[in-house]
Amino acid sequence: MSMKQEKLHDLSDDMFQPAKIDSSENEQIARESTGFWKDAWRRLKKNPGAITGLIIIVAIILLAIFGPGMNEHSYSEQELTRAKLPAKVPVLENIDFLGVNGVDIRGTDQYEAKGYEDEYFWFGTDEFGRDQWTRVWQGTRISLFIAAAAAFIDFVIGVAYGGISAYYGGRVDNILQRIIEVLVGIPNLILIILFILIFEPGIFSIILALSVTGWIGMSRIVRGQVLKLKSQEFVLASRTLGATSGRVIGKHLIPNVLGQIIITTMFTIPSAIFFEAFLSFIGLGLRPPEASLGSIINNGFRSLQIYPHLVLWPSIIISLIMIAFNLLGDGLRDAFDPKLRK
Amino acid sequence: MEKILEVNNLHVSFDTFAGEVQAVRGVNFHLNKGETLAIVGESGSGKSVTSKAVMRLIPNPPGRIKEGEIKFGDRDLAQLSEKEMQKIRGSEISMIFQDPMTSLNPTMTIGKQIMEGLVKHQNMSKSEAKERAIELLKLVGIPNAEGRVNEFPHQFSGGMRQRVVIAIALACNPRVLIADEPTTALDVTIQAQILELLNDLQEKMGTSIIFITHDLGVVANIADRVAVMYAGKIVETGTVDEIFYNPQHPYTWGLLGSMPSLDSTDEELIAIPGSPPDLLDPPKGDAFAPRNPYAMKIDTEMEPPLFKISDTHYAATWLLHEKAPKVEPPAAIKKRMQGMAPSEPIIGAKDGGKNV
Amino acid sequence: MGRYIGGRIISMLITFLIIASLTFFLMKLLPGTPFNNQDKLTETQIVQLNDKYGLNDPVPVQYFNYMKNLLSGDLGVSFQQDGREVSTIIGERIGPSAYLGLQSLVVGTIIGLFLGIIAALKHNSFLDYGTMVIAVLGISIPNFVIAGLMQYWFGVKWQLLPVAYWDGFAYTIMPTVAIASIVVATIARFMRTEMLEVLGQDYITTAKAKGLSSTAVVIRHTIRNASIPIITIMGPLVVGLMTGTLVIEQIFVIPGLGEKFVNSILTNDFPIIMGTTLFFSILFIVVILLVDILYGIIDPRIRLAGGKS
Repeated sequence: MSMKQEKLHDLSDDMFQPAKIDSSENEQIARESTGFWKDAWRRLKKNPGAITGLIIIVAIILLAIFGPGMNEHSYSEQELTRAKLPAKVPVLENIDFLGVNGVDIRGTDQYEAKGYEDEYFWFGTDEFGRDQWTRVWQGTRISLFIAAAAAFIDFVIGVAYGGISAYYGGRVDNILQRIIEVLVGIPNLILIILFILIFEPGIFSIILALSVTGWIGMSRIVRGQVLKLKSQEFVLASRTLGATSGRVIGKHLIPNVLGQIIITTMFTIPSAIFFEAFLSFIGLGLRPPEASLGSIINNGFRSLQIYPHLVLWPSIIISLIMIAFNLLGDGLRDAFDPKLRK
Repeated sequence: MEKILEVNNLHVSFDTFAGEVQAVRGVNFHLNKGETLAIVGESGSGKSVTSKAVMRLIPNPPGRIKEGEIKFGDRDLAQLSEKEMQKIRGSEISMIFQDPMTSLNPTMTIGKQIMEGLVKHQNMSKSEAKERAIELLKLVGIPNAEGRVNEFPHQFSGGMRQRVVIAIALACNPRVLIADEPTTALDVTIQAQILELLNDLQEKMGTSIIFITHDLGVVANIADRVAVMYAGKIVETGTVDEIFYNPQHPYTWGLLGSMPSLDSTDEELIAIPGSPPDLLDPPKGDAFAPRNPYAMKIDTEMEPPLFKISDTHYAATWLLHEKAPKVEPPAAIKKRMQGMAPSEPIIGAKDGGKNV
Repeated sequence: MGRYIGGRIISMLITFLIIASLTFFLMKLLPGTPFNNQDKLTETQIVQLNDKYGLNDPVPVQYFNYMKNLLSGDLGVSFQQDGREVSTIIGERIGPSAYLGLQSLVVGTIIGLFLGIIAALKHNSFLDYGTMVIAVLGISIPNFVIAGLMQYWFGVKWQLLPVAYWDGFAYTIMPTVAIASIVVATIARFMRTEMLEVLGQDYITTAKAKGLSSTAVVIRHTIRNASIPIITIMGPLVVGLMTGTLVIEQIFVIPGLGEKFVNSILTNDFPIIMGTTLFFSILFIVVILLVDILYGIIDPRIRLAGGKS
């Protein structure tokens, strides 16, 4: 068991003098402490999926803002002689497999056939000869607007409702929660459809319809978080240490609840975009010439077999938006709550 | 005495994103037939990892046994295949865990959980296994065993659940039982019952026990020998009496000093300053040096070897070197050493607890 | 348990009455007339039709009649299809929808469970990442996009599967894939998380310490316990499936309830809209109730907690 004892005799005497150990060094915490947001951002940066999502979202928002103005066509400008042209993009048109050379699925160059050799419609044109690029980005703009507005309304109602419910507690909480119980018993799909049937399809009725039940999830999360935090020991601890209510709310409540709110919003937006598109499919979407991504795709389905580009481009964009928000939402969830990380 | 298990130069590491964490860094110990060896240390000292390594239950990845041997009879457990190891686990070496609230499957009746091992290792039929399960439940002191065998874990209290866990571990009469902090999660009164049960069962079945704990008070009640672990190494090992009444390592002094005792009320508890080293980057020299008030220059440069104090007592501290200055242990420890000098007949707490 | 279920059934009935009343009054607020060929109808004909369907009665009387009929299982008659019973129409249409929904649910659940289990067992491997990519895509890409892409590539371009309509098993493949994608993704993701959670539990170490083979540990202890919470997401999933069938039946021109519902919306056929709405609501409420009861039966912790209270 023991080491070669004889070797140990060679050690010099001064080795056995007391060592100066700086005990303060030992007590130091190795890592610098970081704030909640900084810490979350540091974790988010390490998540390639979330960063990809973020970049896609920024790119799509920029295109939704500037895309419709990037060529000379307006979203409602009709010209039947150039209807249903496939996509054609300068430079990229020379790369065959991309399929953006203006040749349709039967192999004829529609631009040549219809006499528009010098024109470029980056996503092609629709059945009225409207520029699909402009319409798609216009539609993206509207889809994003609807989703953002619905998410904002959810946020306002949800935070107020959940906050009041948790803050006052007791009877108020009891009544408010019974109301929610009844509401969640009703399939939201049914409520949304009935709502739009009554108020006629339009941007604002769609936003309102999506918010009718949308806020419930947010209110539950806010209520749950506030209740949890109210009873948590660190809040009690900081109160005991003399922290004011304002400080407790500012330092503990808001960062914790806000994280959850942001995550919920990140998942509300794609689901609102999906629902809006879904409404177009069941005939309750926007009325032309107004268009959202959903209604553009729905229109495209009518001529899918011959003009797939009318479905393809908006489909890719709506899918990218959904993927990006889901990736970012997942990433934020991990970043705000590392315990959940797997 | 016959050595039933011998661990030589065991190294266990975990590969994490931050790098290799050397949780166990060259541990040597042995377990004699029929005895109880207590492995004592702070959290993170590597005592649980050592015991899991013996069972080969270190999740891989990230963990791996880097080197060393675990001799069990003529086999080296570190080299066995997973299949061969499965035959040993539960039948020859068993383990009980810290938290009885989580170590039972919540969706399976306790009867079935006991029967699993019996069916696997002893080729029993279901009905035989069930009978044996009821016997085992009686053995570990569960009243109305026939009725309770069909109940689920959540219908049992914490202490009762730990009895069930012990019944599972003892189902196949293992030669070695590893108890990983089996009383830590329990109330003090229940702790005593479980310790008594383990002592009883050891006598009835002749099992050798490795008892992992951070609680020296528990050690006095149950162990024959003690190994003190610090930062992935064993720093002192000896019989219970040697460790309690003639401790040599400053870390053992610290552990004993931080343990309250009933017989002296004026005694001050001594805290060990600082915290254990980061095993991602273990310090050069003696890992305990930064927290050691007796640290010498050599401690910061060379790791101390194990110095022999008696045939059963070894400690790894340069203070035992012939050139080291003679240091005075803390007053409380000195009192122990003087008041209960090993020359006097000792009525060890262990024997008192055991009620032999 | 019995009392719990009784209580749940009562609250279910209350919810149902609320939905029925809500549907009725919202329908009364709708603009437009219910008759599709109203331009050709004379004033007197419209009055006659209104009389026939009781639309001239005061609203409370209509409400009372409506609720009375409803409780006896009568959902009224279609305005568009010469007074055919709504319940008959639903009966005719439910077949393809139910078939599609169940097939998607079963296939999706099986594949999802399989992927989730493999991903967790091979945690941080290529298979794990692959499953996570499938899960994110399945959750993100709208079912109509999947349907459209399949319809174009498999149906039109490569002609491997029928593009649309409802005539035998081959016609169910693409709709099933489109609807099941969200099921696969949701279940795979959920199962993976649950598996990883369970694999980290102490009782898994206990099971290993008993000397059980890895297969026994995985099947008897891990998968079993990990799949129990799956039941809790079944409710929302089934609702998602209903939403899915509405669109997918449209796209693939499947003569199901969803397609009928959408057409009724376009033609203002109120009784059918109301009848189908109520039908979907009942389905939704019953599924949620069944899920709760099932969960109680399968998880012993809940089963006993429920029994004691």
